Amino acid sequence: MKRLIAALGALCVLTACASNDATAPEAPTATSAGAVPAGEPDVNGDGKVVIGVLSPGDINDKGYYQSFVDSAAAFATSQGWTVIKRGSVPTAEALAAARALCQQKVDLVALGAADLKDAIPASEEPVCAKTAWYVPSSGNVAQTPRIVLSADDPRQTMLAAGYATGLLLRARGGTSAGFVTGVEADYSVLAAKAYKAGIRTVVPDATLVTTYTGDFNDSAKAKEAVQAQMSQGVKAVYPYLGGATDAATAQANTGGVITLTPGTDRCASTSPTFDISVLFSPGDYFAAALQDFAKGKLAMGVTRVWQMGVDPYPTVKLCKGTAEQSQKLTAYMAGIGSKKIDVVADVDRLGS
Amino acid sequence: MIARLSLRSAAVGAALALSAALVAATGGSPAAALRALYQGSLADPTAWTATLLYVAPLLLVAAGACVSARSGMFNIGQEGQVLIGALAGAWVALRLAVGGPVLVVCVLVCAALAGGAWAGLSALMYRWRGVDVVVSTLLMTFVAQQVVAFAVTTPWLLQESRVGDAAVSAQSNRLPAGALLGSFGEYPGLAVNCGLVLAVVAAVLVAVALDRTRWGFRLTMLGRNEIAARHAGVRVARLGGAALAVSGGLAGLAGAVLLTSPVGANRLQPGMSVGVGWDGLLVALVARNRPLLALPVALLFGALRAGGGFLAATGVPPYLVDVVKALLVLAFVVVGRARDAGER
Repeated sequence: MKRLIAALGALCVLTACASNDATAPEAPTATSAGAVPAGEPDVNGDGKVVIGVLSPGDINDKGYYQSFVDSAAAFATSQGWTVIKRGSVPTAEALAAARALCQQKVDLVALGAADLKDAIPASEEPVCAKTAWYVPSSGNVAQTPRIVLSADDPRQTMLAAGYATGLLLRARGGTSAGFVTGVEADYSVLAAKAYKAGIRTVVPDATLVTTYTGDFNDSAKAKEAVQAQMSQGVKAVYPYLGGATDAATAQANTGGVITLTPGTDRCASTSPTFDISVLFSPGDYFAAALQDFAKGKLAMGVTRVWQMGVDPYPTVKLCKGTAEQSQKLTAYMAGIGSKKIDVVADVDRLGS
Repeated sequence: MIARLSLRSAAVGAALALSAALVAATGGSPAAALRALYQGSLADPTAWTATLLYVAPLLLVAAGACVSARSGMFNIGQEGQVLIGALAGAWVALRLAVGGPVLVVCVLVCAALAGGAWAGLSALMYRWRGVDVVVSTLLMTFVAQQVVAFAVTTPWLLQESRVGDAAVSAQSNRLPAGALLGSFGEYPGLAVNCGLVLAVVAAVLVAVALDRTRWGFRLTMLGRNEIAARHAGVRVARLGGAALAVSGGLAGLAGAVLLTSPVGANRLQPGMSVGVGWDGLLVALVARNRPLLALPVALLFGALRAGGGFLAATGVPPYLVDVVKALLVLAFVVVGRARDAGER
């Protein structure tokens, strides 16, 4: 027993000295010229085109995740293709789920979010040899010759969302906003920071109350968080959620506070209602990629970067704003696109 | 014997019929769903490989559950012990600067020790404060989930390294190649991972230990009547605690297999146990706590898991596989109870 304890002690000492960074992933490489898979869109040459979609979230959330699947389904239907869609894929099962799609002879594997990046090694395996890959990226996703990356900078979107909120807040005389999201992860923390910076661009003394419910799809927790924030006097609530978006927004509607969409255009929605549509839907990006795929022009090994103020997406839209407010917002987004506004510096300066 | 088989067949048939009805109720075709399950699990060498990858951790957990159940200490916290095993394995794999087989062995041993120690805490709580083992092992699962979540969101612990200003996820870095278990055969052909070999050996050893050794006899005695066992000279606290620790150790080993085999992403993630702890417990339940019988049952559960990935193509929700598993378990348990009642 003493020997065992001594051995474990020695092991602890040995491991305590090592650094995590020794096994750090390689930095993503720069954009490079890629190759179009032979026969695209019928990449595997079996006479039919099948798109396989994997999503880490609820594919019926009427928002971010659903938009991706809906885009694929709508486009595939128009082309006479088949779509295999699977939602709520745990990150730990991403690889197995991607292999299963390849075994079913899909021509394109599309990941709904970078959360499923662990599926990417399957693109190098023989079972996926005749398959094209589409991967959204805003994180540590390394470019490989076998995948096409679609990237945006969430800071741009959230900064502009905050700016739009600030415009409406100022008009209502409010100085406090709420941000309700799921897991306290790096990207959600960064989103909250950028959102706060955007609000403070317009309302310098604004405060942001952030709540992490721990679950993007838990409606009960989201509603509770929204109610708690409204009790604290917030005049705007951003439900930065997945499946819980509608429940949280409906709760916010009862207090008459400003609400925003997490990714899609829902200005026309009447139940619940939204004041600002923040459009960074992966479905919009994917639709563009699918059009290239149909034409046989979707090259692997390249990164498509979506710029606010330059490309149609990402963008922010006021649902019921005045002409002056909309004009200011458009000018602000154009400033981001033209780099007149230093997004990184503004987020660091105003978001802390 | 024939009556027993008939009863079992009828129960399984009823479970399958109910499953088919559920598939139809969700708008799917039972025949297409069955075909998809088969294609994803047993139709070709690639599918077999996927199935066998799931069998290994399930069998390890089940073998451990057999040990604790035999002693009367019902450990139902394998899901947490799997996670703790994976956590310890990841820590060693990412921090220990040795290479080759030594690293793999260290990962496996440390994972087993960590899982055993985690389960051992429940044994201590039982002996010192009389905390029910079923309750404590279950609750410790939730603690384990939080411990792992903390580890992979804390940069100085195991959170993945930041590259540039890109967002980092709640997971560890990928394990170095030297820490991974090898396979016999080459994917996409039939590939048998060393984790399966380890699991089969563990199941056989547990079966022999339970049925052919004095330790196993004492364990059985303890499980059937603690007072009689004490009168017969069995050191109840030590033996029961050891059984629980062995059970946790095998669950921890299952965590290491999940971490180091190609079934996952070879990195620590909060949800990486993906229900293997719960399913392994069910495997032991269906196998009536017989480690060798757990082999075919683990194969069935592994096939259902692997085949579940193909269900999406049929429009049937993959979680229906869990319902099918639950119905099968109920069928076996009901038959077991009916038989026991008949024998009495």
